[in-house]
Amino acid sequence: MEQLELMQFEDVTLGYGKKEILSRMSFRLLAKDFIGIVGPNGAGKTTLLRAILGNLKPLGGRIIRSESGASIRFGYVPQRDHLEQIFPLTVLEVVQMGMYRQIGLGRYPGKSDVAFALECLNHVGITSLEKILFKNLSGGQKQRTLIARALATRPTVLVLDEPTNGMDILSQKSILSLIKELHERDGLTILMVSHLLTEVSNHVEKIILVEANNFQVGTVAEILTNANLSRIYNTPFTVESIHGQYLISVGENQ
Amino acid sequence: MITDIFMVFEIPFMQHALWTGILVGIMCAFLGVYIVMRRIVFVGASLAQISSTGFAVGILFGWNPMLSALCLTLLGVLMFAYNLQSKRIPQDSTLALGYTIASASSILLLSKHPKGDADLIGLLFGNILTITPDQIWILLGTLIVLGSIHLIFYKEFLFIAFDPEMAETLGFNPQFWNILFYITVGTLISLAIKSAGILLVFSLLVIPSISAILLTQSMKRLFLVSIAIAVISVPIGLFFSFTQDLPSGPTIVAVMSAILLLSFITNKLTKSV
Repeated sequence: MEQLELMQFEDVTLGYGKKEILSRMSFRLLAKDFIGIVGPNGAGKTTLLRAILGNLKPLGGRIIRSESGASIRFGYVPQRDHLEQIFPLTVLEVVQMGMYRQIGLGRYPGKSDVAFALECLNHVGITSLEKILFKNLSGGQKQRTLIARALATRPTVLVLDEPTNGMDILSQKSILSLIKELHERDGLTILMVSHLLTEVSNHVEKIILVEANNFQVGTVAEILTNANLSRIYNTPFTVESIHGQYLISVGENQ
Repeated sequence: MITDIFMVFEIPFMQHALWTGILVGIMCAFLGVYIVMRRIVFVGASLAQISSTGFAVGILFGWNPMLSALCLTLLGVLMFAYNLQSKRIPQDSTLALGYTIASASSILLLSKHPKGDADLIGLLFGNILTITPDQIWILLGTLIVLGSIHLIFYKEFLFIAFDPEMAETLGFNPQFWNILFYITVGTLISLAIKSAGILLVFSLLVIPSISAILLTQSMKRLFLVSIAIAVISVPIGLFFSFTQDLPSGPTIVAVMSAILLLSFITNKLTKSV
C-alpha cells in the first residue's frame, strides 16, 4: 500500500538572516516513515527540524504540507538540556503541557485532561512517577516524560531532537526501543535527530544525512557507507553488518 | 507586642503605608517568581531604573510622573522584547545598557531641578508614608487587572517560561506572551516605584521568590509562599521603621533578608535530615 504524503520540501533553503545553512533541499515526508536525521555538529540538523515543525520559515523554496489530505500534527520532544531545570513541576504537570493547545486559552486542565495525561504516562511506562518533580528524574525518565508530553498532543508525527543525548547505554537502548514501539505499535511517523550513528542505523528506515550546505536522503544502506561518512566527517569510518545489525565505528578496520 | 503593632497601624498614614506595601508586595512577589525562575532578574532592575527616569522626566517637565514613568517603561519593555530576538547583542548587555543609561539620565535630569536631591532619594527609597487613598485605589485597580491577566493565562505564561520552543511548536507565539509578560512587569514597576521606591520594588521582586524557592517544591506553593513572605514582611518592617525611627523601605528589605536567611537555614537543615 502506498504511503500518504505528509509534507514536501521543494528546493528549500534554510538559514538565519542572510546566512544560508542548508541549500536547495527536496524530499518528501510520508506517513509511517521512520527517519533518522544525522550529520556533523553544526551542519544544520536542528535547523532542519525547526523548519519541519514550522518554527523557521525557509529563505527560499516551498514547504508544502499534506496535499494528500493526510492530517499532520507534530509531537515534539526537545533536547532535555534546553529545559529550565529550576521549575518545580511534577511529571504530570509537564505532560499536561502537551494538551495546553487543546484545552484552550485561559482554561485550566479538567479531570478528563488529567486522565489523558496519565494515559500518556502509562503509554511510556512511567505512571508511578506522576507526582515526582521533573527536575529530580534521571535522564531516561526525563526523556520518557517528554515523549509522554509529545504523545499528549495526539500527534501523527513524533519529532525527537537527540533523544538519547547524555544517557548511559542501557537508557539509550530503552528509549530507542520505546520509540520503535511507538512507530510499530501505534503507527506514528518518526523523525529523530541523533549523532549516534550505530543506534540510529539499527532503528530507522530512512536517513537524512545533513552536511554543510548539502544533504542526502535514502535508505540506511545507501547513505551510511564507509566512503560517504569518511568524506563528510573528514575521518575514516567503518560500517559493518553483523547478524543484520549495523556497527559504525571511527577508524579503518584492520 | 501584638497590641503595639495594632496601635501603630491605627495611625492613618501608617494604614496607607501598610495597604500600599501589601498591594505592591503581593504583585511583586507573584511576578518575581517568574523573574527569578526565568533568570531575568536584571530585567526587573533595568525596568525599575527606566521607570525612575520616566518619573524624573515627569517631575522636570511638570507632567504626571506616574504616566511618564509608565510610558518610558513600556518603551523599555518593547526594546528588551525586540532584543530577545536579536543574536547580535547579548540579552544581558542590552539590559545593562538600559540600566546604566537610565540611571545616569535620572541623575542628570534631576540635577537641574530645585528639589533634585530630595527627588532622587525619593525615587530610590520611595515615600510609602506619604501615600494618599487615591494612590492606594490606583494600586488596587492595577493589582486586580494584572492579577486577572496572570490567573487567566497562568498556563500560557508558565509554558512560555518553561519551554518556549515546544510552546511555539504547539502554535503559541512566544514573542507575544513575552511582551505581555514584560508589559505586566513594567506597569507594576512604574506604578509601584513612586510609593515604594526602586530599592523596595526590586527587593520585593527577588527576595520573597528566592526564599520561596528554598522553602517549597511545588509551583503553586511557590507563588503562595512568595506572596506570604512579602505580606508578612511589610507590616513587620513598617512597625520597626516606625518604632525605631528607621527608613521604611530599607527596614522592610531587612525583614525580608532575615526571612531569606531563615529560609536558607531551613533548606539546609531539611536537606541534611
